[in-house]
Amino acid sequence: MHGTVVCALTDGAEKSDAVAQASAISERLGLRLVLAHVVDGIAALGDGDESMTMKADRVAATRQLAELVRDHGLDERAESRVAIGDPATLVGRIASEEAADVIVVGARRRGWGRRGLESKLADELETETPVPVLVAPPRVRSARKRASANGGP
Amino acid sequence: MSRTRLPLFWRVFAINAGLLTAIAILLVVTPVTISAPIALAEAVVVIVGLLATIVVNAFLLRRAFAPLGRLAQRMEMVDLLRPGQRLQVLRNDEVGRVVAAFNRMLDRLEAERRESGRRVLAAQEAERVGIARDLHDEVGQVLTGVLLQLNSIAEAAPEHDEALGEARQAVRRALDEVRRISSELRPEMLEALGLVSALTELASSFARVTDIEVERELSSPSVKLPPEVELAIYRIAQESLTNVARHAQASRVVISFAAGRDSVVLRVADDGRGFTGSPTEHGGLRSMRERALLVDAALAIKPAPEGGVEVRLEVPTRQPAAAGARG
Repeated sequence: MHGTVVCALTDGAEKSDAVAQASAISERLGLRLVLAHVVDGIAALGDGDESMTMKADRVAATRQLAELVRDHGLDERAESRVAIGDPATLVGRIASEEAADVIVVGARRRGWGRRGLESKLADELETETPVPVLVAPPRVRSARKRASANGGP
Repeated sequence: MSRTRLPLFWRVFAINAGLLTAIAILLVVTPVTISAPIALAEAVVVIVGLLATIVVNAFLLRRAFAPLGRLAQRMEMVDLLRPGQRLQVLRNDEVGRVVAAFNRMLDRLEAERRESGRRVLAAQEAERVGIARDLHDEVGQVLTGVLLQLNSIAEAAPEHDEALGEARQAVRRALDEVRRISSELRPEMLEALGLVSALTELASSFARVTDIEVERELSSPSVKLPPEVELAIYRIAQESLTNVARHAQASRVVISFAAGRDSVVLRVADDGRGFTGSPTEHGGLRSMRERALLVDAALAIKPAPEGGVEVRLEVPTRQPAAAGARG
């Protein structure tokens, strides 16, 4: 196989699950893996410069992405990209630039009493890119592990 | 998996029938009367009822037709220079049938475009070879003749040696230029010594002409690539370097060529000014995409880690088992 999988990460989605899924697909099929962390915000000021907030957002996103890469042992295998702006538009553009064959996005389970997964980004990508979108389901974790992952006791 | 839905006609019919039924029921169960001539209070009730009906109807029809709007947006996204893009059939109604028909049309268009692109590029290559041969054999010979004549004149009239020396320099420069253009038009090195040698020569020539530092990481693939694939890789590398020289304002370029698991990857990355937003699809980029399309390659044009632009071409070395495997 040859090709590219883009894993789209946003603030709201289940990042780690999406990275795990994308990494597994990439390894199994021999695809290049691109991790794209997109922060919702205004891309740049009118003169092309970034404001302090944007710079802080970019630095934080880069740091989070580096942590994810390290946690999943992808230092050698994954390429990383960070962008600020409208998430769906940017993910569509990144997929186009990278000639992606598939985009992996994270998702949450719908609330109590509702079946299926919820991913706003996947819904928006339907009209932003013709590249197929794969929604990575959240892994089932115990309440203790979930609390630990969220920084709880 | 496609969802079964009521056909669009029946949905619109049901919406309107439902509204009319609701109005009829309201008229029956509420004490509304219309006098002749109509009283002001009755006119107000009629107008409010009419407006409410129109608003509810517009809301319901908008929901019913929303999938068509989304479909139009999805259709507009498809780019024939990025083959294999197909819309997913999510519904089992008119929209689903339109999507299926659109996908079949894309199959035909891609096949026709691939064939016409192949013919155009073959004609272009043949024309380049012809021009290169004419430049080398005709213009080159004439210039060489002029140079020999100038040498003879210089020997016969040594008092004009200085002026003739300048003329000879100009003719030599013209000869060098003819040779350079001729070799760009017809990469003889590619035919004689193979892709890696041709890329090495291309990179060296680029560094010499532009004074931009070039780092080469070129390794021979383990499999023999077909000539049309080698030519596509060479031309895309050539166009990428031309773009660097013209637009990038770069001081350094990395050109690499290596074998992957089932593919070979060409990468040309510069440290120039890059691009903001999406790169403009000018003639050069379109030509690169056309060439990539003809050899079933994936062409990525994106921001480079070095700061400028990275062109990455991945060409499969094994043919896909079935057509349309991508996308």
